[in-house]
Amino acid sequence: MILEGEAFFRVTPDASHPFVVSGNDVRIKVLGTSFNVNTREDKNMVSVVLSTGKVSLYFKKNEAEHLILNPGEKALIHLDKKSMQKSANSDPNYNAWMTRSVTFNNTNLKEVIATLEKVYQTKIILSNGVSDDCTLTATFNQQSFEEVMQVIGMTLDLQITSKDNITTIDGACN
Amino acid sequence: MVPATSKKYIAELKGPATIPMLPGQWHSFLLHFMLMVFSAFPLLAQDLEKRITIRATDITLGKALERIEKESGLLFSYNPRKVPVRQKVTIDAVNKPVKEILDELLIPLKLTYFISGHQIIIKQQQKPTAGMEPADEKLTMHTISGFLSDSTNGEMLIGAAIYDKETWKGTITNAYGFYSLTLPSGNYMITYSLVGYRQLHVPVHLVKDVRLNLKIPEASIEMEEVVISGEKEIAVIDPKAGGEVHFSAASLKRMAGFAGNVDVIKSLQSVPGINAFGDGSSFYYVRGGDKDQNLMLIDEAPIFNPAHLFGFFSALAPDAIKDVRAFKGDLPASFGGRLSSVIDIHARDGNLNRIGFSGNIGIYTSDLTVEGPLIKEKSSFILSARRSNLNWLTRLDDVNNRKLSINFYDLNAKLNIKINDKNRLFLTGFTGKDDFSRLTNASVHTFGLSWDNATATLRWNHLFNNRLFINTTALSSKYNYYLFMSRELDDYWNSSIRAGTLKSDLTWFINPENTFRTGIELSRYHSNPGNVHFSDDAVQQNAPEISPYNSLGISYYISNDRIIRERLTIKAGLRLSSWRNLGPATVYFFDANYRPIDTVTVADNKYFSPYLNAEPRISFAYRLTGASSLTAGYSRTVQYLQMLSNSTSPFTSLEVWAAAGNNIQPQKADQFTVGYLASRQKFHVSVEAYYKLLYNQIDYKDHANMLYNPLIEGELRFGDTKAYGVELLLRKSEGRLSGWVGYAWSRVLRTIQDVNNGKEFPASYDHPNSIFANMVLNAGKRWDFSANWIYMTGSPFTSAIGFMQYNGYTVPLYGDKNNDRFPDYHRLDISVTFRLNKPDKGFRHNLVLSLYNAYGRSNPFSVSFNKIMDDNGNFVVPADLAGNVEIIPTRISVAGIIPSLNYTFKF
Repeated sequence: MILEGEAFFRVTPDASHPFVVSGNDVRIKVLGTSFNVNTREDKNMVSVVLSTGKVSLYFKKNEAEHLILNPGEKALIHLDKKSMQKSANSDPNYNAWMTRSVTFNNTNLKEVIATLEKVYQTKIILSNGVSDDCTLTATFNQQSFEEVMQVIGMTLDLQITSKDNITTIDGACN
Repeated sequence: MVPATSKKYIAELKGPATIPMLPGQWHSFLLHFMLMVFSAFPLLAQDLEKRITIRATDITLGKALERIEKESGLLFSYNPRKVPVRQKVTIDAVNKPVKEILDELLIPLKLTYFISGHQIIIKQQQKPTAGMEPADEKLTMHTISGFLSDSTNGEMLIGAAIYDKETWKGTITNAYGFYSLTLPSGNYMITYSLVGYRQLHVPVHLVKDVRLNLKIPEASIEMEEVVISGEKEIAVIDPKAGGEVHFSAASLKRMAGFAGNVDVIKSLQSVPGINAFGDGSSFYYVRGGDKDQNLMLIDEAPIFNPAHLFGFFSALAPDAIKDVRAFKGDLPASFGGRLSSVIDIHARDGNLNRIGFSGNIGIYTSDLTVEGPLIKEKSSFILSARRSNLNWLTRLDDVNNRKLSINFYDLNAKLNIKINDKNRLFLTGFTGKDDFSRLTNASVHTFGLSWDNATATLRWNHLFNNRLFINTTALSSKYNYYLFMSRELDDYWNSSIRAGTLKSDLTWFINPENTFRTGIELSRYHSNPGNVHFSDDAVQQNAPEISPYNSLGISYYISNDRIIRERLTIKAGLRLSSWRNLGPATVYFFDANYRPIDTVTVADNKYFSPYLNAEPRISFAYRLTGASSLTAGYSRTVQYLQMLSNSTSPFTSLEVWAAAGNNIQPQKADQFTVGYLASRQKFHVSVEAYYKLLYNQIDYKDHANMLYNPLIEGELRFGDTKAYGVELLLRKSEGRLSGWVGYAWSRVLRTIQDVNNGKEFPASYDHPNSIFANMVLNAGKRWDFSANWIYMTGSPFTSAIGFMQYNGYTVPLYGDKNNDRFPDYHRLDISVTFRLNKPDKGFRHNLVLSLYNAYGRSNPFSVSFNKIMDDNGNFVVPADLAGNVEIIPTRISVAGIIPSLNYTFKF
């Protein structure tokens, strides 16, 4: 399987037929698991976040140097440097593009917008008037984009306007 | 969903690797995902009553909220810089409602919270303005005002409730989507509710006047109920008596019309208190009122004949209608000129955001609507056209070379221009025409009938300030009726009426308990009661000329809506109407035996027979508990213009509009009502009883000559009508299955001098029992079913009580007027809509199959005691031609099962 972009996988274990995901030069070998692969943010970077089970990461033709991921862990793979880095996953919204459950915890509005743009595949413009240190704490559970924007607007006293699929945020941030 | 969110996703099976994730599993995964989406839990106000247990000492507020989120399933949203998340708090709650926990937690920290859809939004309490004492704050009033519109097409929303949920103080958007709500300073959660739309809760910190123009999205039927507005709560803000009926365009569209056409009149004819005449007719009778006592307005312009094809269709293109309100009792003081009812139709303003097309191609009619912005979000246009496609039907009937053609069309056009935030202009035009011709086999002349309506309205909305709204209207309306003796020679009989009106209506929204309205109306009428036109000048010279009616009506009204102690709503109004007739005119005077005794010629610009009448109206609604109310009302109405038509035919026929003058006194009516209404969940029940007295009612002498008669007023007989009845209605307005069942018991009894020897008799539209059932089922994404069933006691008519022989003729003898009745009338209409694609697509198209009179009931249209001949001279009912004693009553029905198929589209 060859992947460009982002996908969430849920794989049934089958030891005799391992499931291998190819993302650029990276290979992910699976023995029953669910995980999220993202290759779209930076063409030299692949990120893998594991939800359940176990995966093995390695570069193409180099299965010996592999990295094992456990649930809740995230691997950042630098394609240019051919290196892998393991860390705890700090992004609760890593698979929100699929579940549409989004959580923000004292998150800067710019980050909020970046996440929502990804989740809802839309364009949001933040006007210059909105202060840089505007943050939000909120949880959304499978809600429509319009409703999410309405709630954010009401929470932070922002004006939300939509035109031609582009949403503009303006206002004071209180 | 998944494919949409991963645009760059390329998946490909490769090499020896086995992919255990088979397409089928992907599918079930997607399905699982969709189920998750649609089962997303809604947040109801009562969810705050959910009991949870949390015990925690000295935790941060942030953590505390997280715990509450986890235990209760509620979702929070707040600005962490304004909410002291690090503040240490202690919660000791055992099986305690969430609301209490939140109140104890948040209020001491000067925080407030409110619900919007799924979230609880936490905010800082607004600080009172510096230097203002709390006591003063209570006394200071401020206004929240603005326009409410549909978020997708920008149409202004009529009849939406805007209220503070704590105190249930609120207001309703007017016919132009404007609202104004004046409340004491403070923090409010203002709810915006309109049936079929998402409910919005907007926190308002009211320390100065606030302008809030809001756009609300329409709710789909699949949406969770919590986010959709319900009718029940709106009814609390605006308790309506049972005499008011409201249809939104969305609800009209789902009903069974006629031949796939949405039909305002036919939809209203299935409401108790509004009776149809019979098959196909557009005539309707409201609470004992005659057919000319109903006022129908399209964007404030009166339509004199809303019928097409003798009444099988009504003259309004279906896609042009936004909102319909019908009043059968408790008429607001702003309406006048007719005794029994007002149907107030508002046409759509046109899409403010994008160009849109919609239409219908059917086997009887086709229509097309185009709309769009002229300047985006500021001005728009809408143009609707409909025409008939009936001539293939008449070809089937083309026997003996008789050419028959039937055509009708109508056109609606509207411009909507927002000049600025305080001024808007609306320009509406409507025209419709019917044309019917038949070449008879007996002559070379083509007989013909035609009628047309045209109206134009210019309206100007102006806001003086946040609480003072004025609308000024200039309109004209005309109606022409032609009866062609010969189309070839252009010989015809023509009657017509023209009206021109200038009016202004002002509303002052003083506070939620007090609304004041006033208005003035000037109308000029010109009616031609029927004259003949001959192409041959010699013939024309000998034809008498019947003098037209020229009249001027001036009315003024004031009304005041009050809410007293939160429970009692009083709407009181007074309308003063005046009428005068203008010369040049020839006025006839009649003696007690209706013989003309004198003629007076009135010179140009002189006026005669003036009238002045006061029309007081008052209604009370007392709210018992929640959404149940007791209502009572009294209204007086006066009518100066009447349609003279000595015909009980259900169809448009020779119509003459006559003005009140020296022979015709203005018609007057007094109506008293008492009622009860209640709503529980999605069900609404109403019971209303009325007693109505109508004075100066018009009837006709036997064998009255109404056509081309200068002395037509001498053919009229006058008297009173007494009408009373009880109407019951059970309605379900929301959900996949909606509709109503209704029953009306009603009587209409007339007493007319010199008719029926002055004895009381039932009016020809007296239907003591009627039953109505209307149902709409939204069955899944693709199917809609609707059904409409009407039953009513047969109409009265006069039948012969015996026959006598005179010179070899059999002559019928008549006893009391309307001594007999037709068989009972009943009819079922059904319609099925199949959506050809999913409702969320940009291009939507449907197939509509409908059956009028689905079980083929032969409802009689007329009963005849003569032997009826068909076109070939054969008797329809075989009778003994030699015998002259045997009289066989025969009856004619007009409508069998009428099927139709329509294709509708919208993009």
